[in-house]
Amino acid sequence: MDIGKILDINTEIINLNNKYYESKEDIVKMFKIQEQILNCKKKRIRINATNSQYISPTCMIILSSVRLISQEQKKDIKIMIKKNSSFAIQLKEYGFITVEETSKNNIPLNVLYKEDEILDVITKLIERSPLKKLDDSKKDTLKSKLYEIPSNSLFHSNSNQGVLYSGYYLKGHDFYFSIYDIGIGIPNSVRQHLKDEEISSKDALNWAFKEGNTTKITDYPRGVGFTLLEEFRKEVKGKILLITEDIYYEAKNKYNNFNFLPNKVRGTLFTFKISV
Amino acid sequence: MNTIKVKELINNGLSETNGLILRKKIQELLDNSTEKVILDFSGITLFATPFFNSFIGYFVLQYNPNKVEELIELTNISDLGKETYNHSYNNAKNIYIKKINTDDIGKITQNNISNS
Repeated sequence: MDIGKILDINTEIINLNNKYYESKEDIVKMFKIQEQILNCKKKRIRINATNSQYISPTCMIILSSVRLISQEQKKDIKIMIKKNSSFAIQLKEYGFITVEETSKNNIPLNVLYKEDEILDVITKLIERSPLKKLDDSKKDTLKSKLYEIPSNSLFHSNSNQGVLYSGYYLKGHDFYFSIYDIGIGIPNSVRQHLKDEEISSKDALNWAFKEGNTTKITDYPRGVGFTLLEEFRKEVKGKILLITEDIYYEAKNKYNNFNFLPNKVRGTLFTFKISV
Repeated sequence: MNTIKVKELINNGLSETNGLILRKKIQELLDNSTEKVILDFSGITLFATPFFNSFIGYFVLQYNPNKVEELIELTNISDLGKETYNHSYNNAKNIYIKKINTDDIGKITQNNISNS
């Protein structure tokens, strides 16, 4: 593909790297790509992935936020790939290129708008991974626990565009379920609720994690889903990755780790991983 | 005793929406009778906290935790359901107690101000 032919002064070209792994460094790089797209003054953007070979599940869902950004900012954003390349096949498997169900081991990347769509998504995801071999009782437990994630995201995101979801099973390895909303992020939501702009992002997240705390006013109590999910994570020896504002939070094995990102990111990304 | 066969109202115990449907039905029975409401969860296998928060959590705050235990009973519920219910119930109970303590402190403070 000759990039020069499509380059004009009204088009911004943003280049992707060769590979993006499931590491903090590569996740940060992918958020930088997102930031470039968000801050780009030009309305026409082309993401050059012609040299790309691999993208991990979490990096994929960050990249896929271009779908929501393009709607929000009324930008024309497209990704350029080499046809039939391994990357193109991977994008098809993720459902990034098309919403056709082209793969046996994933659910196509898409957007959730309503609570009553969640169960169908989760059920399909489980049935397309080795987790389908679980007995009914264990499957029900898994569905019920995973339900907490998109349900919470939809409730809190303050985003009119719904939330992105992605489910992916890496053969022989891990099962991923990711939710990403491009709303205001957890720390800002907590600051607004508590009317305190001085709270650090880490303190805000710790507040949100505490059982019983919630930023939404309802006539019934909330704020208990994360605790339940964390208990479940330990039982299945899974991993939680939560990225919001400048926080990169990982819960793995017996430890929970707060790391900080060099820049603030948009919205909240939540990935739940189980080793199959 | 008034029994609600939950499966006749909703298909699962996951969503806030389903919790609100059940809440409405429970409230109707409580408004019209002093009898205990029995919730029969036969056939319901999926449970999440938004569901329980929206009805049992609501009733805990409206009445009080002890009263709710007298008024509402769950039967034929799986271990998953019980575990999820307990999370929501205990959370609501803690919020209720915190609220009561805050209200009490407020009243004491107000009394002290009035009497000074």
